[in-house]
Amino acid sequence: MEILSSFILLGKGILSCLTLQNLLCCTIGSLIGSLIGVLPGIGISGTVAILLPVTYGFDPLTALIMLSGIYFGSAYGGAITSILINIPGEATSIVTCFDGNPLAKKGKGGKALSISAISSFLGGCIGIIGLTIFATMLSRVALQFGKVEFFAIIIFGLVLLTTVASKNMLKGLIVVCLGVLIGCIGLDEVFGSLRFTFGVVDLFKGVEFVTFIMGVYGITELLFAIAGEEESGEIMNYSKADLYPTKSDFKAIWKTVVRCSCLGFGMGLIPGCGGTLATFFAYGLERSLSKHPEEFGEGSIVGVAAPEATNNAAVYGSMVPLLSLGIPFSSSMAIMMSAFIVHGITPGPLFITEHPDLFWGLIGSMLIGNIILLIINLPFVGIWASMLKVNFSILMPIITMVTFAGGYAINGSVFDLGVMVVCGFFGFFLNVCGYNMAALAVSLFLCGTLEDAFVGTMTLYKGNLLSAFINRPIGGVIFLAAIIFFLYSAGKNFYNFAKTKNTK
Amino acid sequence: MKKKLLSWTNRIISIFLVCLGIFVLIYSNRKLEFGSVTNPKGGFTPIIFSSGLIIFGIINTVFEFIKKPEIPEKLKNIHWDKWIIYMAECALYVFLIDKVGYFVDTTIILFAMIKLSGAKGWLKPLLITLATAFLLFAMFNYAMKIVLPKASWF
Repeated sequence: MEILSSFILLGKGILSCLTLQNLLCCTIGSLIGSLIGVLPGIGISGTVAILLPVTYGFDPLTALIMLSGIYFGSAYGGAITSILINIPGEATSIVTCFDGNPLAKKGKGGKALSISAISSFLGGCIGIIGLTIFATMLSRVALQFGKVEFFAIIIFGLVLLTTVASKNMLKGLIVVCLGVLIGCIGLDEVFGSLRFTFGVVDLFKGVEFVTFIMGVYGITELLFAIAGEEESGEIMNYSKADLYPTKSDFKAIWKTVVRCSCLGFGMGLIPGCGGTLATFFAYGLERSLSKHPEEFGEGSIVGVAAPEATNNAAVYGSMVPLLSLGIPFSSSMAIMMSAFIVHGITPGPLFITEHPDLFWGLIGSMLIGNIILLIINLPFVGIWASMLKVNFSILMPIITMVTFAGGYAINGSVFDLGVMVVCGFFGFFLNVCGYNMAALAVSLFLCGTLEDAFVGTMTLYKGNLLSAFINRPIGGVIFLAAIIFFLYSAGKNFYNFAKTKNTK
Repeated sequence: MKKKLLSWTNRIISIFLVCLGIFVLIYSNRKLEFGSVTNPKGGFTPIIFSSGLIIFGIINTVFEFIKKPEIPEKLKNIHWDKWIIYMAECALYVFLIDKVGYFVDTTIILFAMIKLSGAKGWLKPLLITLATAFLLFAMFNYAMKIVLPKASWF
C-alpha cells in the first residue's frame, strides 16, 4: 500500500515537472550537458561543477530539472567519446570502451550509441522504480538514526572510499585526512572557535565546497585539456542506416539490461562502491552468462548494454543514501548535493517528509531528463561526434571564463576565485600522483557532519565508544563492518605490495 | 634535470603532505584547545587528522623512496609552457578582476588565453572574446541578477 502511494506521489512529481519552462530547461540542460560531457577529459563531476552557475537564476524545481538534464547529458556525453574515440569521459564509461569502440571500428558506431542511449534509459527507469520503493523505506529507518549511527556510517563510507574507490589505499587515507583538515578551516560550528583562518576574514566562513569542487575538478580538468596532448579528433566512420538497433538486438539485450540495472542499483546503494565497480561486475557477469563469451571485447552489443544500464541504475542507487541520509558517497553525488544546497534544499531524513513536492519532483525530473535525453540524442549522434572536431584553443578558454563567473557568483567573492585557482593547482598535482579526488571532496564535504556526530557520540557516552556501539547496535554493526573491511583491505594491500616487490 | 624533477613528483608531493600535516599539528597544538576524549574542543579533530596525515604520509613517503622514481603517466604528455601560461593567466585574472572590472578583465584575459592557446588570426578571436564577455556579463548581471565586479571607472 505504501509502495503504491509512493508511485502515486511519483506520478504527481512527474506532472509537476511537465510545464513548458521545465521541459525547456531539461532539454537545454541535456543538450549542454552532452555538449560539455562529450569533450574528452571532462567528466560528469567537472561538467556539473562547470554548469552549476547556469541554474542559479531558476526556482528550485526548475533548477533540479535542469541539473538532472545536465547530469544525465554529461553521462551520455562520456559514453559517446568512449564509443567513438575510445576515450572514456568518466570512470563509469571505461567498460563501455571495451565493446563500444570495436563496434565503432566495424562501422556500427551509430548502433553502439543507440544501444548505449536505450540501455541507459531503461537502466534509469529501473533505477527510478528502485528509488521510489527504497528511498521512503530508508528515510523512515534514517529517522531512527542518531549521532552514533551517523558517525559509524560516515566512517564506513570513508573506509570504502579509501579502499574500494582508491587504487592506493594509503593515498586514499591521506586525502581523507587532508579533506577533513580543509573542512576544518573557518568558524567551527560545533565549538564556535576560529580554525586556520590566520586573521583572513574571507576564511571565516571556511572553504566553500562548490568553489573547491570547481577548482579541483573544473580547473584541473581544464588544465589537462589545455596543457595535455592534443586529441587527434579522428572520428570513426559509421553507417547512418545502421543507427538504430533491430528487433533481434533488443531480444539480445533485454535480459542483460534488466539484470544489470538491478545489479547497478544494488551496488549503488553501497556507500563508496558507486557505478564504476558495478560496471566491471556487470560486464564480468554478462560475459560469464553469455553463450558467446568470445564476442566480448570484439564488439558485442551486450557488452555495451551491460555497463550503460548498470551505471545509470547505479546513479539512482547512490541517490538513496544522498536523499534519505543526506550523505553523498561519490564526488558526483557530492556535487549534486552541493547543487541542491545552493538551491536551498538540504537532503536528509526529513527531506522526503517535509518537502515531498521537491523530492518527488526531483525523481520525476530524473525520469523526464532520461526521456528527453533519449529523444534528443538518438537523432543527433552524428552531430555529437562532430563536436570532437571543435577547436580546443577557443572552447577551453571560454569554459574557463564560465567557471570563473560561476565561482564568483556563489558568494560574490573574489577571494573564492583565488581559492579556486589554488585548489586547481594542488588538485592537478594530487590527481597526477594518483590521489583520489572523490575521497578528498567527499571527506571535505562530510567534515562538519563527521565532527558533529563524533563529538556528540563522545559527549553522550562519556568518551566510551564501545559503550556507544553496544547501546546502539545498528551503529555498532556498521562500525564493526568498517573496521573489518579496513583491516582486510590493509592486509590485502600489504600482501600485494610485498608480492610485487618479491617478483621484481 | 626536468625529467628527474618530474620523476620525483610523487616523492615531492608526499613530503609536502607530511610537512603540511606537521604544520597543522603544531599550529593546532599551540592555537587550539584539544579538550579531552569526553569533552572534545576545537583542536580535537585537526590534531587527530593531522596526526593521521603525518603517519600515513610518512609511510607513503617511505614507499615512494623504495620504489624506482618514475614520471607519473598523466604528466608525460603535459606541455609545461602551456600549463604555466594558463595558470599565470588564471592568477592574473583573479588579481585584476576587482581592479579593472569583470568585463574588461574577461575581455583581456580571454583574448590572451585564446591567442596563447594557439588560435590563428586576430579578428575571429577578438569577436569571440567580446561576444563571450558580453554574453556572460549580461547573463549574470541581468538574467540572474548576480552583480559581477565593476571597476569604479567602468
